[in-house]
Amino acid sequence: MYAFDGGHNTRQASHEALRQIRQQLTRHPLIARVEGLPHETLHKELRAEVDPTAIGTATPRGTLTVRWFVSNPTDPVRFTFHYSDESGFDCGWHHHEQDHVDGWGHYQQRQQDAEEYVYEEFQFGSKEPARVVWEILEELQTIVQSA
Amino acid sequence: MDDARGVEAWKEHTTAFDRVRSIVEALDQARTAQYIATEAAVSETTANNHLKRLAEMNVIRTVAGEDATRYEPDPLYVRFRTLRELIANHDHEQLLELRADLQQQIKDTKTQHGVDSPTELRTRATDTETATETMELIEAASDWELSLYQLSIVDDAIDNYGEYAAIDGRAHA
Repeated sequence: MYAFDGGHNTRQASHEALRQIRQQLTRHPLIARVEGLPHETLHKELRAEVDPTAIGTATPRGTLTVRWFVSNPTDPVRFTFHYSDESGFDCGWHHHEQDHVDGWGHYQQRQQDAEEYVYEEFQFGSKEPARVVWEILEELQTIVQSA
Repeated sequence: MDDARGVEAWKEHTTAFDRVRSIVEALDQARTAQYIATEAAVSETTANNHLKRLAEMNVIRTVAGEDATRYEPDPLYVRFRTLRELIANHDHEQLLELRADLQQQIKDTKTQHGVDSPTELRTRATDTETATETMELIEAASDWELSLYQLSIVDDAIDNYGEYAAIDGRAHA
């Protein structure tokens, strides 16, 4: 059994989720490059360069930052996909505890750094890492195309 | 499932095998072929065929369930893949630096939170006043656990560098 003792395999699952997310990001036309931080192979965070010109949209380039946390089977997975562009706009699709809307899934955005975030509920179609990547990139594509 | 957000684009840019593999390799618990087929947007027959191949390649392994066979990533395969990437892209000196970085990250977290283990930090996360504080502690505990896992692989790479590098056809540093 892929045992969850709060230790080794939980750690391995977080590592593999990030690795898989990285692979999926590199396959999407909106993504120009993906970097692992603090280290390329032993990463805890991913940063993807988003290039809207690749899909024929002349909006500013941006960065999508991804974090993913596996705890144990009784605890839902937590993750954040957060986007910011060169104009100061930033937004994110997150799944974790928060005090702004019901449930864990939410979308937040603000037009400039100095502004307060506006929050709304967001229901993820799946919590499997690969599926979440493609769902969020579709949402992000809609945002950059309508900017 | 096919009309779920992002699935059409996913299918356009990947094969059925890619999708099955991407789902099963990142599972955090053993799942049935039916679950994997739904998540990968393929038929159950297709999922079964690809899962069988992946199991034969030792990428994944099977677990007998009460109702149906379940599949999960093979922990040894996963570990050796990371080990292989480390050996291929680092010399011995760089691996020692990586180990020092990971040890420092763990030491910093211990000092910052005044606890001796990620488990202790997770326990503390259950007794906070705000959701933000809970999430910060969970993040710190998860990063700590990830550092411990990564450190164990780097230790393996360092301890056996000569042998692994020779197998890989690299000069010893």
